[in-house]
Amino acid sequence: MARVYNWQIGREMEYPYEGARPRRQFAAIFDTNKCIACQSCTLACKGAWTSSRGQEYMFWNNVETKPYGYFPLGWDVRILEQLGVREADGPVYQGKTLFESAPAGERVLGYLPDEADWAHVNVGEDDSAGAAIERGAYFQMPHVQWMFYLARICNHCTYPACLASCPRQSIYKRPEDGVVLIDQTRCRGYRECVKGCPYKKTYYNPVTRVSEKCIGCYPRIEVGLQSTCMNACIGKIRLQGFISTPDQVREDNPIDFLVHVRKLAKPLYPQFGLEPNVYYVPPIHVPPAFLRQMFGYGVEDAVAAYRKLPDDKDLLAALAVFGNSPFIVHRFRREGDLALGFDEKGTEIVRVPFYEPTILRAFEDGAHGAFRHNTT
Amino acid sequence: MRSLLALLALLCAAGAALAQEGPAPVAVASVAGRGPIDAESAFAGAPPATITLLPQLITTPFTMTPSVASVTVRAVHNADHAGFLLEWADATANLRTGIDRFGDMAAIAFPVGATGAALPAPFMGNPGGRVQILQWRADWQTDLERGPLTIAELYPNAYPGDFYPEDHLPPAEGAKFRGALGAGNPMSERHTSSVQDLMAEGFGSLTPREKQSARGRARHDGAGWHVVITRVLASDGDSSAALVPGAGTSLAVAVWDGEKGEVGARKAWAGWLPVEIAK
Repeated sequence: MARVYNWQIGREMEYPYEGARPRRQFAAIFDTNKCIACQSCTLACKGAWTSSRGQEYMFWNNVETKPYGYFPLGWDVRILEQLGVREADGPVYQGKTLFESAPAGERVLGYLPDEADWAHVNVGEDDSAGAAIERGAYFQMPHVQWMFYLARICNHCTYPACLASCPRQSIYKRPEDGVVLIDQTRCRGYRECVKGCPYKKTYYNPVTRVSEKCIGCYPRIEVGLQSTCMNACIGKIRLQGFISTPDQVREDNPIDFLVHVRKLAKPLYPQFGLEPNVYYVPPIHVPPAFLRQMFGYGVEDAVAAYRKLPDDKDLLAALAVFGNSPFIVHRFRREGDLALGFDEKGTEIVRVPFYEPTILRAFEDGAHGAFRHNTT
Repeated sequence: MRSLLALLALLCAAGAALAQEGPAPVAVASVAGRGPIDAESAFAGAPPATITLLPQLITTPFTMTPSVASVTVRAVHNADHAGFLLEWADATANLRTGIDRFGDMAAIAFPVGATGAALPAPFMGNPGGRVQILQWRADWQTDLERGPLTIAELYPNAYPGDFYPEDHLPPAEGAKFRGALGAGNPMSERHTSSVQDLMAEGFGSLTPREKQSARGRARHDGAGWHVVITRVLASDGDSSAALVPGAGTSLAVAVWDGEKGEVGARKAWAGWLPVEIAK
């Protein structure tokens, strides 16, 4: 195996191919604290890409309720269990990645889900159940138990396990944007990628008999638009753009600023070793040990920074460009209490105030002969 | 790793033993007639060659213990076609592929345009050393017998009135919704044969030939498979090996047990065996 550098784990690691980073790398940030699992993203993706025969079970984008929701069933706990307990107490990950843990005959440690594991997306995830009910628990605010919504798409990893697993090299990473694709004319449906991807974001199509995956909406990216799941997010929890390597950080790139400069957004299971490129603002009310396992070293600092957000206007400005333009925001800037975003050519595409003006209106609307009700 | 080395040593030892004693050749007997040979009865007079299979351990991924240990091959030819009957023990007939289901398969390979010491690598060939591979697939045979996989078979409780954009668009537009089927991947397209005719020049290079003339017929008797693969004797185009009566060639074989998830490089196989084609 070749040696490649994975900045998310702070060290070199084994990978079946030489490292060759794309000219720029697709990336996204999801703010878990703002996601309400409305599934607008899921439906936008479903309608755009997976409405054909054989794709019925596929959700290239899904939103699951953590800690007990999964798609497919148990996807993360099953591979975590195989990987075993690993040391992650510093910026340099001391444990083994999935590539370094590959058993004889395999290129990556993985497993193939059962068909039934895909069959019950979201079913029961938000239901009240278990011993707490018997003790008198009921639905109330705030919730008596912690939970959060985890929206997931393909991570368009720098070191994809799907790509590494394919014995036919049917999977490739586009040099122009780092999007990972399965060549639909070359795949022979071995399902090695389904087995190898720890995030379970490749899917076998039983009708076409080859595998498919999230394409990052590359036709949109090619014309400067954000992917459709980002665009459909009514909660404005998502931002899609391009991420630089730590030695090439550009502070006015909102992705670089949030991931590299302020370290507010963290990768999903960095210990797997894939250098995934969807980053998460971690949920702030979840036990630190769980967060450490899911988002890696330094997640506590991200939570602390998020709690101070009202006083941190630069951070606010970066988050304010989320969901406010269908176009990819290449640069951002704060002007007082305004967040500004710009496309690749420098054209302003986002202008968002931190604070909306407060307008008090009279109870009686004389012009219309009506009374106003406060319905919130 | 230790077990891997032990198995590799076993593989080398088996190869050395074969080199010393020389494997028994597969004799292709001559029968009357012409046209595709797809009836098992045609092989009644052909001598059986029992071939020991070993796990594929040269390239990843591999399975240390594939389930098929040996295959019996009989071969005949008539005026213009050759037929190969492959029989092996397999208690489960895996007829369909699905999200977590794999189909049974078998393949034979011939060197293209090379003999003797100049043979390509026995396992999928090598760059510049081309092989022709005829792969029989249980799921393709099932397609021919029962029709392609339907949503009703996949999901018996599915709502039958689901809306598929491809059904409501002109073909060129609808194709965009159909993934590999729309892209023309031979794995996805409707088949006219249970055998796919392929070429390779090394691991990962397997490619369907433009001309697909090989045919097959298979039967599972509850204990194992009886698979006939038939093709024309003469080379029928680029990447097609010529089978010449009165001359010799070589044959390699591979078998996959779908029940055990064997697919692609996860297989049991045997390298070049001499083939003597009767006049």
